[in-house]
Amino acid sequence: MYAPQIKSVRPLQQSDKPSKFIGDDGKRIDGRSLDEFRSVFMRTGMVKQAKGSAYIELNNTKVICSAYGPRQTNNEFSDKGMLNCDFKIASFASKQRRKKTRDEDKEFSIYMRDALEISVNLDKFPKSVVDVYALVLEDDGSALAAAIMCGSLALADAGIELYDLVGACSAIKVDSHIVIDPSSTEQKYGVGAITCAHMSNLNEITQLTEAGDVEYSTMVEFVNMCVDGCRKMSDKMRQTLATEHLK
Amino acid sequence: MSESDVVTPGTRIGSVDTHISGRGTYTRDGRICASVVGRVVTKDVPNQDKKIIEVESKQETTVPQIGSIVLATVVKTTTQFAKVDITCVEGKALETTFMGMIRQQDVRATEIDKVVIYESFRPGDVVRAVVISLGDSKSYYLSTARNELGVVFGTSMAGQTLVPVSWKEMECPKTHLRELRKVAKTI
Repeated sequence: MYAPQIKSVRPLQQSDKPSKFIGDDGKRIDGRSLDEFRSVFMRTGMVKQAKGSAYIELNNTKVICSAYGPRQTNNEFSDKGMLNCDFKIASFASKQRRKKTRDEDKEFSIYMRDALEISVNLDKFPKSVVDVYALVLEDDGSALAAAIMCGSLALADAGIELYDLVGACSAIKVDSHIVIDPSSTEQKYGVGAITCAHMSNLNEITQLTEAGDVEYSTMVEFVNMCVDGCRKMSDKMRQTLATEHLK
Repeated sequence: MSESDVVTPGTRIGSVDTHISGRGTYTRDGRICASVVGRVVTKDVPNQDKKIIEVESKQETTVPQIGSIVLATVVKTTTQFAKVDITCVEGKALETTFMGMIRQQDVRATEIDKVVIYESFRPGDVVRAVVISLGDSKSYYLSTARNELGVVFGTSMAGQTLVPVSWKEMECPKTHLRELRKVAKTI
């Protein structure tokens, strides 16, 4: 009698979707309130080869960033300098192993450049280019926001002249509540999300991306929450730079 | 010195009514703000009430600018120009080199139509020059049309360091052979 030989089976995959994102006490799964950040850690100047570098942890989201330059370009002549950003997520960054290159990386590189370019005094290095490389070591949500802040810190550490530091913050809608600094679970099951980059001293939004279903009426609330978050992060960035400067 | 003495990019440090914006700062809407991380320093200006306000940072961005004195190594010579690698700007070493070009008409101030590039520079020479223009997409345009500008270091055919003898000749200490250069008057 013929019996099929089964060598292996796929493990049963359970959905990690929690039944409730916001508890009855108004706290999120990890115990945070709606407008509370995860524990933040920032440092600058750990990549010795780079002109400037920075490292940011938003609990489990870990981003390292280094800035090089200004260096010569082979592009056409321009009176202004250029900023070149490269955003990468490591293959081991999330629970599911990533493929080598993804369009998301290219897309996020552009978002990052848009967010940071406005803050850089490009007139100071005509026809040269400054490179910023961001690598996401672990992605537990809000990786783009972390990379933008990390890039801004790296540029400041490299002594590139900036108009202002760029703080960044993500917000997402879960269970009809808007929460900031989402974790990967919240990001996975959230409805609409925005990422906002903001210069706190000049009070200018440098970059705003929106994904998913964000209603026009809630957009203002989204942006206001993000800008408040960006302000908090900018203060933390300033404090970090001052402490590192005295070392 | 405490953390509160350190300013970061975007911090307001003064007003244009009371100060003059210096290095590491920028002005926007009449306010002077820091553009780098560092300590605020004010300097007196002779015959003026306003003080220059600057931010002293640990790292600086140095790129060649119009009027800056640079040190460059000659890479290649043609009949029209000498191609150089700029390695030093205003006494500060660059991390990466920038390409520069000394055109025939910019080698010296007089008799510029009789300049022979190969009798002014040779590949390997270190030249002190001034940036006269940002040039084209590739190179900065440099000039050595001043007494103190020209070759400051060169090696002879025999491999010895050349010793300057006049403004257009250098001598090899070993073979006493004279080679033609646009010599910089260093003293």
